Amino acid sequence: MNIEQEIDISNRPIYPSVEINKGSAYQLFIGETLSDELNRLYQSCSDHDKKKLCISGVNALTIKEINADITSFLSTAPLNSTVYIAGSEPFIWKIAKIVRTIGLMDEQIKMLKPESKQRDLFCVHCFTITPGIMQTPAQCSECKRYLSVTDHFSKLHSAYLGYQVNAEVANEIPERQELN
Amino acid sequence: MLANKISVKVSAVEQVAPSIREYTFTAADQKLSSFSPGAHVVVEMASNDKTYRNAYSLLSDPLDTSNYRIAVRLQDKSRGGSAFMHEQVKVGDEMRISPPSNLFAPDWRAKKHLLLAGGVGITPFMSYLPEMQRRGCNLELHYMFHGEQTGAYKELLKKELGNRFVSYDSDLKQRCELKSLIKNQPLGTHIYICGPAALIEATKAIGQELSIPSSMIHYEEFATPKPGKPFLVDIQSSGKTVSVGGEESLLEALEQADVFVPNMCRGGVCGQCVCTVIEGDIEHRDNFLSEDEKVSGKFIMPCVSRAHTDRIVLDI
Repeated sequence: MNIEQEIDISNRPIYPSVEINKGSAYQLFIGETLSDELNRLYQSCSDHDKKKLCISGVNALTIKEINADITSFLSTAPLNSTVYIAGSEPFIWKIAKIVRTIGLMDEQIKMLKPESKQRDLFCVHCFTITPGIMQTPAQCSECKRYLSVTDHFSKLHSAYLGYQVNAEVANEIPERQELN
Repeated sequence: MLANKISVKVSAVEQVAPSIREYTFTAADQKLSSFSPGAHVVVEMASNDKTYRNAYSLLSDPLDTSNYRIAVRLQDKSRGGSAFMHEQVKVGDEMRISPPSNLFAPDWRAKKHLLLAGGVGITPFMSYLPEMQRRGCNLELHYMFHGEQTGAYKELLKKELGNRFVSYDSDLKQRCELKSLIKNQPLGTHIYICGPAALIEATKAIGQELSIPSSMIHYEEFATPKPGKPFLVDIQSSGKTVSVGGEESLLEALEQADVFVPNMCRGGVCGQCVCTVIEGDIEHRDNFLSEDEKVSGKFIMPCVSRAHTDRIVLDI
């Protein structure tokens, strides 16, 4: 048995195309920016009384600030509401975590295809999450180890798992590659 | 076969509605365990000619291990089980029950629990309420019944829940407007239904119409096995042939012939008793197998399903 054999397992989320859930009584659109795709969806939803748009990028809201906004938008929403989330992958999953705690089920959370290739990177050595990763290997912002960026995504942390790429030979760092 | 059967003593029998009796079981030789809200036990009823086994929801406080309580409605067309309970079982009798198992536990992620009970379907909610009250859950209980037959515990529930309890006695022409009730629930409400198939189907249809995810609608229907025409079963492993009468289920006939199949709910929902079919045309009556599995004809749930053909062969 070859224990060095490369294990190639991808555990990345899949984002099917999103359409308006017409049966829903309230629709909340949440974007990091107002992307064309989010705007198209928002415009295609004809019932103005039953929809709300919330864009974090406009006032550079932090996750905590946007959390307060979302909670107030959803405080009087009926049980058959739907939330649409657009932005980078870490943003989408952080918002999804918030709306889940408010009581939405996964079927009520529609995630648009991430707008950038940026990943948050979870360091298995010091548990720090380093944002904005575009290449592998990447350096952990806390322990400074060079981490191989895997395709193992954590829904809980909205980040990809990274492990030290040069654990045996410290000065051997593989050539950087763009993440896809 | 029921694993680790528990011997219990009937310590009280009480008429709680015109056609419903409540039975209290205390442990005979081993301590009772606590259970999770919504759990049921299978009660063995040994009559002279055969042993009936029916599943009943536990209605006592899940943390109370001093006794278990169940309520049994005398079915108009009893296949023997509920009639046996009502006519034969007396205080002081010893009976055997299965340990509690649960196919209808609350979803604790819910922000609000909307409980819809129909008739004797109130029973699992009786074990929900103590735990939900302890946890300070937001809940509402809507109880539909025929006052001339069912409606057990309504005064007690009214006293305990106040305006979070609404009752509808159809014999007094009181009706529950299900759709508007469901439509006006807040985000994060989970709906639980225990009662007749018609109530479950109506709620599911409303859920579909309003785009409520099916993961927010929970239900339990213990469909008692309905009669059908008699048929024969060949057991592949032993070559034995078992005859299934019109009034008994395939599972009951197998048990009667000492052919034991693991089982739990005995109502076509849990999937424990699934058997592989080698030959024969199956009349599927369960809620467990997928449509594809049913069409394939390779599986049968012997607790409720039967045969179209006169003879089937099972790989057991």
